[in-house]
Amino acid sequence: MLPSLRTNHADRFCGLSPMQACRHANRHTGRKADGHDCGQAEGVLGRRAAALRLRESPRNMKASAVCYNFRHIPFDVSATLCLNDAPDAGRISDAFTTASLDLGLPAVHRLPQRHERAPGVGARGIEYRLWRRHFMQVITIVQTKGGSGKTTTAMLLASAALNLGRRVTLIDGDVNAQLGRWRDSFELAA
Amino acid sequence: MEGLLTLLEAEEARGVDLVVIDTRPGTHTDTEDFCLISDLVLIPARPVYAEWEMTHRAVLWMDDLRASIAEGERFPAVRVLVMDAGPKIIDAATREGGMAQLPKRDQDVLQEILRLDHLDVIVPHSRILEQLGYHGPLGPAARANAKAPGGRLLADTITRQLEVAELVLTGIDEVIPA
Repeated sequence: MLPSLRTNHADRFCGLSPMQACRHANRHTGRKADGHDCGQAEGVLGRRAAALRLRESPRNMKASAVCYNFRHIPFDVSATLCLNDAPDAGRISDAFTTASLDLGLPAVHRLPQRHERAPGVGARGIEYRLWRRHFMQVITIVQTKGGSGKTTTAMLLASAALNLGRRVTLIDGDVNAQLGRWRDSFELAA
Repeated sequence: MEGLLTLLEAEEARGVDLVVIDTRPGTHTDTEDFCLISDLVLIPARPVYAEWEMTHRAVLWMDDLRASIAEGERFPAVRVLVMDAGPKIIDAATREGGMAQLPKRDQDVLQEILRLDHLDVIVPHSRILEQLGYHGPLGPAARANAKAPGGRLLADTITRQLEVAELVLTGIDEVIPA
């Protein structure tokens, strides 16, 4: 175990650390994991993993009867999943692109260098500290590289939170609006 | 920015307890605005050499952003989330001696990532991740597959992915308590 990984989660995950629990959840990879992992013989696990891989292949899904579209499935909506339900419409990414242009900010922002910053003033002179929340968590997913799993992470977090009965709002700050379309599809099914 | 703050206030008044903001690739001002009103900035990172440079760049960008705001102002926690990791990577991060199984280049990348502030959860590689747009929210997708004829195995796979997602959420709750 690397020193940077904490191990104080024993109670929460039935004696497993989150990393071990990850392995437990990922047992379909077919690798024999720790003794307390899945409680199945390796041969059985191997066959099962092979069956899963077969089942999961897109070609198989297309051919099999389980091929489904979630739009046609009646969802049990346990929480609110919404994207910018403001009446004046438009995706929030559109709104912010426009706002940035209105302010005359360059499309690609150059951060002020240290000697250019006035003391006590934020990067753009906005009083961010006025923003206070009581219980809501706000998570922004950032990566400079495209295709690195930002939207996937957002979908994963939304799925987990919905499953735990939490109320979730997704904001799509990407001009491709893939997350927004995902949410729209889900809402159609609701 | 004002519009975003108003929106968030309205959402909180409505009882929303989690807001997830997806951003576009690159270093843009709107992304910085999103970061500055957040509690947590999550940087998904694949532990492969080809992506390490961009991950590092994103972390440096956040450091620059932190340095650009006035002293004493709140700044979100920044955490790297290791995504899409294969079994060898998970072994290397969780098992004694597992690191030796990796090629030298991958070892270096993993060690560099784990030196950064990171969530204590690794999201393993799974085809479900690639098909999230198709499946929709995983809970309903798992239940729907479980009911469909022949869909039990896929339902199990989706459920395991959901377990991983819940672990990520638990890791986030430790960084920013709800």
